[in-house]
Parts: sequence; C-alpha cells; structure tokens
Amino acid sequence: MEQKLKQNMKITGLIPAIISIIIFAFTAILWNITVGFYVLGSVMLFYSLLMFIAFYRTFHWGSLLYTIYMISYGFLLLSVAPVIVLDKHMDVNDFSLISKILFFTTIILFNWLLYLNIKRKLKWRGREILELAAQNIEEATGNFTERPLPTGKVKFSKQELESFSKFFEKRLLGLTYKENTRIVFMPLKYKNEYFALYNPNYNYHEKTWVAINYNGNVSVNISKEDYLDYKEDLAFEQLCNSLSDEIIEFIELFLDGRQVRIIDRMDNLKVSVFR
Amino acid sequence: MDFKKAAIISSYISKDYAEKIFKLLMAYQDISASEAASRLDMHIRTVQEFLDTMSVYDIIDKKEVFEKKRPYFRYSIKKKKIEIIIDLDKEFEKNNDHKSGYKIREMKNSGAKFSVARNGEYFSTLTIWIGDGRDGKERKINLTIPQGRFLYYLPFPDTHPLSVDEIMQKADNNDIHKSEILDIINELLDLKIIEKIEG
Repeated sequence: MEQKLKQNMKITGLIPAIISIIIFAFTAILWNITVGFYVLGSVMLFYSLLMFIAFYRTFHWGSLLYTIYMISYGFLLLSVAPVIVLDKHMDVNDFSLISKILFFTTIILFNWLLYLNIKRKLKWRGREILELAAQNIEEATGNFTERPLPTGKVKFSKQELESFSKFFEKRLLGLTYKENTRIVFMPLKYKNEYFALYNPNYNYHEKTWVAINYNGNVSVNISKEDYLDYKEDLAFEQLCNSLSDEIIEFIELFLDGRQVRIIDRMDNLKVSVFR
Repeated sequence: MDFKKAAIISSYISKDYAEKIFKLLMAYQDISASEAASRLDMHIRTVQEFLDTMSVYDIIDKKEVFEKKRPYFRYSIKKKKIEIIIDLDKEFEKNNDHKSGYKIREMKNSGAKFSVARNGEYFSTLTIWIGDGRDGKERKINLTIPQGRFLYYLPFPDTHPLSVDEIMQKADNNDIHKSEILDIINELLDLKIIEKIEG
C-alpha cells in the first residue's frame, strides 16, 4: 500500500539519549569517570520519572516497563560508579552482588523492550491513523484551512466514549482530553509524544483531533503541520471526513469487542517502527 | 426619514441660534431672512442658510414675494411639531431575503484564523491580518454565538458552496438571527474571507 505521509527524519526520539551522552561526557571530562556514572545514573532515574508520568497518563504497560528499565539502569550506573576506574581491566567479581543483579535485570528489560519496539507495541500510532485517513483521498491544491469541520452526528453514550478514550490512550493511538461537553481524540505521532506529555502549555486545540460531544456531534481538525506532512496536497474536506469516519469506525469496532481489528488495520500499513 | 436627512436636520436644530429663529417664526406671520437677522443681530447668510435648509425639509414654508424692491423670500412656520423618525427596519431591510439567494464558501488562502469557543461548537473570534509586512495590522472580530455557529459550518475552500439558508439549517440557527449573520457575511465578503458563488 502506497504511503502518503513523508518520511519522518526527525531526531526527536533520540534527544534524551543525546542529552544523556553529552552530560556524561561533560561530567566525566570535567571531573572523572565516577562522577560521570553518578550523573548518568541520576539522569536515568529522572527519565524513569518521566516514563512514569507517561504511564500515569496512558496506563500503557510498556511505559511501566520503560520506567522499571530506567530505574534498573539508573541504579546499576550508581552502583558501579565507585568501582569504575578508567584504563583498568574490570572483572565481574569487581562488582557487588546488587550490581550483578541490576546488570542482568537491565539486559533482560532492554531486550524485552527492543522486541516490543520491533513488534510495534511501544509505538504511538498517530502516523498510522493519518495514513489510513488519507487512503483513497484525491489530490487537490489550495483548499486547506485552519479550522475544524463538523462532520456529522453519532449515537455513542458518554460512557462508551469514555471507555474508548481509555483504549485510545492505552494502545497509544494518541491522547484524549475530556472537556465539559465533549471528548477530544488527538492522534499522536511517534516522536511527538514528548511535547504532548510533558509540556504543561501544550495547546492540543491547534493539533489534529476528532472531537465528539455528548450530544453526538462530531468535529474534526487537521493541523497545518500534519497536512503538510502528506507528500501531496489532498482534498481537505475529504480528508477531514475520512479521519472522522475512521475514528467512528474504531469506536464501533471497540464497542463490538473487536479491538484487535483496529490494531491489525494499523499494522497492515507496515509503517516503519522508527517513523 | 433616512439617516442622512435626520443627520442634516439634527445638526441645524442643534445650533445655538436654532431656538431663537424658531421663536421668531412662531411669533411672526412670516419673516424675511434680513428681518430675522437684524432682529437677532446675526449675519444674514447664517440665518438664510438655516431657513433655506428647513424649507428644503418641509419644516418652514418659503414664498417668493414681489414688492417695490427686487423679489425676495419670506419664511413662515409650516410644521409646529418637528419629529425625527428613523425606521430602522425599513432602513436596514431586516430580513434581507432577496439578498441571500447566493451560495458561499471560504475563500482559498483567506489567511483568517478562526478561534473555537470553549465548548468547541462554534467560533468565538475571527482574526484577520490586513496589509503586509510591518504595515500589517491584526483585526479581531468577536462573533455572536449565532454568527460563530454559522461560520463553523461554512464550506471549506474549493468545496461545494451552500446557500445562507442551508448553512443556517446545518448550524441549527434560528431565523431571527439571520440579519446578524447576513451582516457578518457582508463584512467577510468585503474582507475576502468568504466568496460568493451566484446561482
């Protein structure tokens, strides 16, 4: 299936790793390797806190696994810091029992997370949602507008919408926002999660979303950034209607107990794990 | 009476000498401009202009008389009650029905920013940039709820346009709000935010 979104060349996903390496290198050069390990370990514990915030927001079990991995890795670095000496051959027996346990835990968790990543279990699915919405949409130039489109009416109860919103977050389709009169479903693309999860001033109103109010009215907004992410200019109204239909179909599948079909549809697109 | 006529009459009546001239006209059977000017110690041209204007609007009667001298005009009061009535319904054609038979949609690259209200079901403001570069100015229009709801359902650029009534129906707008909706449509047509498709 031809993919309509551009390649994502952002390095946002690597920013935490790059920051960690820079901090480690800086402290190790400025002081010594032990200080470097202490600082890097502390950074990992800080990241574990961020991962826990993501888990608290989405209840996605992968985020909890990441949290445990970061804690394990952080404490491993802190435990080996006192015995690490540069230019000295290190033996397993040089490390304490706790370091050895943490080392094996970290390796197991790392490989587990790597496997889950390859299986797309840890991937935010906004890109797939936008790809699905764009299938069979005609090309048309100059009809983008930065305003929402009311797309119709549905008959879902408030409880059904709330229930789907939990699924939407738990399966990393995106984030949801409960307002007084409606629920906003915001598909979140991989590598964009940092801004959405950790920026307290994040303005989701200007992003891509599908909102359903408790009277059943459906509105769609597609952000300029997401629209320009398509390789071609697409007929904007068709695209909005398609995104709305897609989310409504997902809700119907969810309420029918066929959640797995939703994930299958996205997996069938075979979007790269790193996009 | 239209606004223009009302404004002219009002501006003359508000002159500080208006009351004195009308007092004279009530007291005299008829009076010439020079008689009135000399009596009130005013310039004849000021008095003449006032009397002529009042006669144009049928408040004062103006008659040309021929005596020994060359012809001149004598003025007498015609209406002892001066009413300024502006029929706003008639003036602004409240329903404007005959003017809404066209179809509309948002114009391509209008550059307008529609801000959604808190409940997300209508637009609360519309921001437009007028002019380019440093000289550009931001203009913000606060919309009424019916206007905001109407614009929420405005067709996108290059899509099938809809008539005002069709959009109002979609937006669940009451007919009593039609005049305010037509007002914002006219403003947005002037600002090239929306375009009119005849037919």
